[in-house]
Amino acid sequence: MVEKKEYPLGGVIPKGGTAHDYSTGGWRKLRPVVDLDKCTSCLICWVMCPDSAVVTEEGKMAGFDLEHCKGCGICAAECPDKVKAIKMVEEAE
Amino acid sequence: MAITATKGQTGLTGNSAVAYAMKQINPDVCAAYPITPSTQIVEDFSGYVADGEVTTELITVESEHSAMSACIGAAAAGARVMTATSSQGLALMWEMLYIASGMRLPIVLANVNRALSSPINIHCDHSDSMGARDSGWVQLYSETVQEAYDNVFMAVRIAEHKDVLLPAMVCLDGFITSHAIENISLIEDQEVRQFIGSYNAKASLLDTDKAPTFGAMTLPDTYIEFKRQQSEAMTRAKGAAIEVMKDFGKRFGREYGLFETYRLEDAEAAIVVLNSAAGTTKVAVDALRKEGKKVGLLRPRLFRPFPWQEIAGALKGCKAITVLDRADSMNAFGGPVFSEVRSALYDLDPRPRVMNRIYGLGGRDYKVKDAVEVFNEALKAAETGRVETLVKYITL
Amino acid sequence: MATLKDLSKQQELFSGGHRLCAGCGIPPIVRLVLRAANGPVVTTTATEYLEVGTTIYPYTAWRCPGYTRPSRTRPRP
Repeated sequence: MVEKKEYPLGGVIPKGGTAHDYSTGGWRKLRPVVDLDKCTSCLICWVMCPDSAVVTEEGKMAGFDLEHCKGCGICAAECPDKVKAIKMVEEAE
Repeated sequence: MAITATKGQTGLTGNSAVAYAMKQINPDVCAAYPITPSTQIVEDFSGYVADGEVTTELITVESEHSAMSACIGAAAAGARVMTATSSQGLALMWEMLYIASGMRLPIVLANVNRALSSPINIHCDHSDSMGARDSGWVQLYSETVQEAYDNVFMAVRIAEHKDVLLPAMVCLDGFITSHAIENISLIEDQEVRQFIGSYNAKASLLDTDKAPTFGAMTLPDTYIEFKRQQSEAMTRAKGAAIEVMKDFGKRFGREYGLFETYRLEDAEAAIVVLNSAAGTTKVAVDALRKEGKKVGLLRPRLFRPFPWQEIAGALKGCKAITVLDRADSMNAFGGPVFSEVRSALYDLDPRPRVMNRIYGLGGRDYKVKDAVEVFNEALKAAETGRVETLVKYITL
Repeated sequence: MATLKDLSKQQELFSGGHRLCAGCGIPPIVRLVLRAANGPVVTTTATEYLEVGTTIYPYTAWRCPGYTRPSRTRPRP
């Protein structure tokens, strides 16, 4: 017999932020790659990212959270024309 | 020390009694939008708020949909919440009723039964609460002002019972009970507090540490499990109701059960009817008993969950039963109480004849002579074993 | 006025791993709104894709308590 799983009362998700444990990286067709030598850490990519997938350290761009990045390319598109530090590359490559 | 039935007597209308019970409960939040015939509940209660007799946060909203929405928000935050409505008001709450029960929030609502439009009618029938019978709310029905008053306290306890945690609705007949003054026994505030205790919600919307999400989306992989969980709680509500009613009887001397029976033990024909019409029916029972006719009454008090085994057990000696419905399911097969009672009796052997009569819609009077007629018809069916008309309208 | 550098050092109340479409315009707005709020935050949203996509049981993207209401409770003009 299958043991009855416990479900929280009334569909409440008892703890916040559990989506962090859910990987959406597999949705990605294009992967963002940052050239940190070119990057000025203006953080426009960070503020525009729909998936909270731009990682910052001490107020500086530090790379991407590829578990959550869906490869939408907004970061690359929003990276200022003078900088263009982010490139989207085929995930298959 | 429990008060006796003769202590603290006072004359109150059904509405005032419910409002007084709410005052004694002193809920954290009440969000309401008054509607006839339950208006006086909210009116009286807002007086208690204005006079500082309760510490309740009274939220005056723009509709009943908003009233129930505010109740749900407050209950999700962990508050003890109450409201009152009738008819179109309950209808407008519909969407939110299911959310209150699905989120397992023990909100208590007093519903003063009134007909639904159209045509518009402000008088008593049970179309409103019967339409909400599948919304996952516990439903208690009340014959008298005293019972409505008592049911409010029991509803709080049943709803908040650890095995239940479902919203509960106390139903009383519009005008007939809501506006009639009856001499009733009040319970002292201190005793009310002891009886209902305090409510501690399992999760709170204001808990910023755990940060729970309420009203989350569930996909086909989990939705049915939550519904089963809710259904099991409803099943347990019967036991909780028995426990709460027993405790109530012990403390205050007024005994209540899942249903009331009147001279049913040796009855051959019986009427099953909710709320105030039971009083009229009892007079007819007494009159017919004097003529030597074996008739009796069963009045369900707890309609959700429906105590079908107990009701079948109580009716198993009857040969013919007429279920009186003050609402029509518009299914061309009778009223809601009929469907449930008839289904409950299906497994009985021998199986009694069961008929349905729709009566009193829109406040049409149901008189002793109507009950007598129904009984005579049922006695005939008991004798012949044949039902001439399964479903029909009476009191026309 | 806070700079993006300052804001990036605050706690992120909206996590990745939600199921909104790639490139969805709503999350950046929500992330900024949550940053603009001082003190404890409790959110309430009327049913639409924001909450449907972010609260798929047992995963919630919200690190603050939240309540999803039915669409009908949305304020109307």
